[in-house]
Amino acid sequence: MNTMDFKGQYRASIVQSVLIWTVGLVGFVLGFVNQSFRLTFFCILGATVLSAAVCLPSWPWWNMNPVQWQKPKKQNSSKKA
Amino acid sequence: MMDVSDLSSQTLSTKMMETLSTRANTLFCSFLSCLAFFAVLNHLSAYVMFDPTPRMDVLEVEKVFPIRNTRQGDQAVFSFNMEADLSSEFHWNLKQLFVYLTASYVTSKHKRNEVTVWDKIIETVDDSVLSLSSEQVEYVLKGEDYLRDRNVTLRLKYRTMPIIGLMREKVMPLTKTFKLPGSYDHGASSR
Amino acid sequence: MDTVRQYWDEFRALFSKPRQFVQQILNLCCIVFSALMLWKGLMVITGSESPVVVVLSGSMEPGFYRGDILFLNNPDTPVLPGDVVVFKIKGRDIPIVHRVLEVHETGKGDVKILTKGDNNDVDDRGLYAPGQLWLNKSDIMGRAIAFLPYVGMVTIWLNDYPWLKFVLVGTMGFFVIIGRE
Repeated sequence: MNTMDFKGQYRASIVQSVLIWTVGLVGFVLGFVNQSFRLTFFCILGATVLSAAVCLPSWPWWNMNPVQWQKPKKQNSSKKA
Repeated sequence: MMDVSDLSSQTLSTKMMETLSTRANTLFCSFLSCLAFFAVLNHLSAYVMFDPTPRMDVLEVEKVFPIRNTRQGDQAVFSFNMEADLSSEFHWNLKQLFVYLTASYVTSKHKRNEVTVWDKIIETVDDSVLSLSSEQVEYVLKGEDYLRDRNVTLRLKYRTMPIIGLMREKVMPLTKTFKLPGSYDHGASSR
Repeated sequence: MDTVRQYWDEFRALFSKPRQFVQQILNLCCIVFSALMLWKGLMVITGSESPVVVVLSGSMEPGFYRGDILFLNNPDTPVLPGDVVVFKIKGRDIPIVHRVLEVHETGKGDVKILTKGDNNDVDDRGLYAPGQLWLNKSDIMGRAIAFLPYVGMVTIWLNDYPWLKFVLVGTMGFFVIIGRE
């Protein structure tokens, strides 16, 4: 099982952006208070790694609305010349 | 019997379904843009909100050694005392300070001479309080010119080198002018 | 490998549609030319023949490491000790990024400059051309005014592994031509 459905893809991309930018903002404030940009950098890096673990692979929670394929139509005579 | 799933793998995966590589690409772009955004913000915050008050208390020439006249020209060496506090320059966008003492003088051949006689790289706040006494110059004043009787002005300058962004040059207002000896050192060997 | 197959099929399909093919080639040219215009524009604004350089050696550590990027400009103001300048030695193609140690200027406008890398123990006379004791203002390509860390590592990799250049440009051009973002 290695697909994400469309809703799942949309959600995954949102989660990814939100995660990185929120942690980025938090990291920026923390870094400013501590006067260390290293802190900010590692926050953003950490958020990216977390995002990669959660959003990249096709976990089951991204496949909650699987595409409903139509059933193939039955063919009456399949081997007509 | 043709399966609909054959069609899907052709058209859908090329045009609509994202692949792992596309997702990884978007992730990397988010990472880079977020990092770049906050790095620029970092630089701006340091630029705008920060008002450093560096202090310089002492700049004196301690001893001027006699001028030597070598085949390449005159050479002058001296030692100095200095007390300065640059710790207020440090903020989170600063990577290091390059501090240097320049000596400027005028000679008959060159109307403007400015040389670095001493420099230091300061990377942490703890190192930024400078307290030197009898510090001999690292780089000797030398050249093809005659240096006897010349007035030399010492200035302390430094460059702020950021993690990202613009570099600035700053000069400390306290300067010291002194005069080089008028005659050569006859005791030293000059070839 | 499936996706590579698909891309290749799309590429082959393009040949049957010559008008679209030409359109995509023109697309590629547009991108290349706008990048070129941006570069030339920067050259004019900053007055330097090379407004952006990548630090290639470790002689300015710990301030600048290999792979950092420097933005240069070239104003008419006098060169001062402490300026970080980029210069080329006559006969060599590699730009060198070092700091000015000494400046001597005659009344007639000749400027003699001596440089030294922060991480080197001696000044750069050993690097200059044989017999050359000083740099002139004309040897200097520009003065560093801003700094960007790490981003230039890509240029260094491209230089050390030239085949990477072909792979990179080839794939980018390929993707533009088949019309995919």
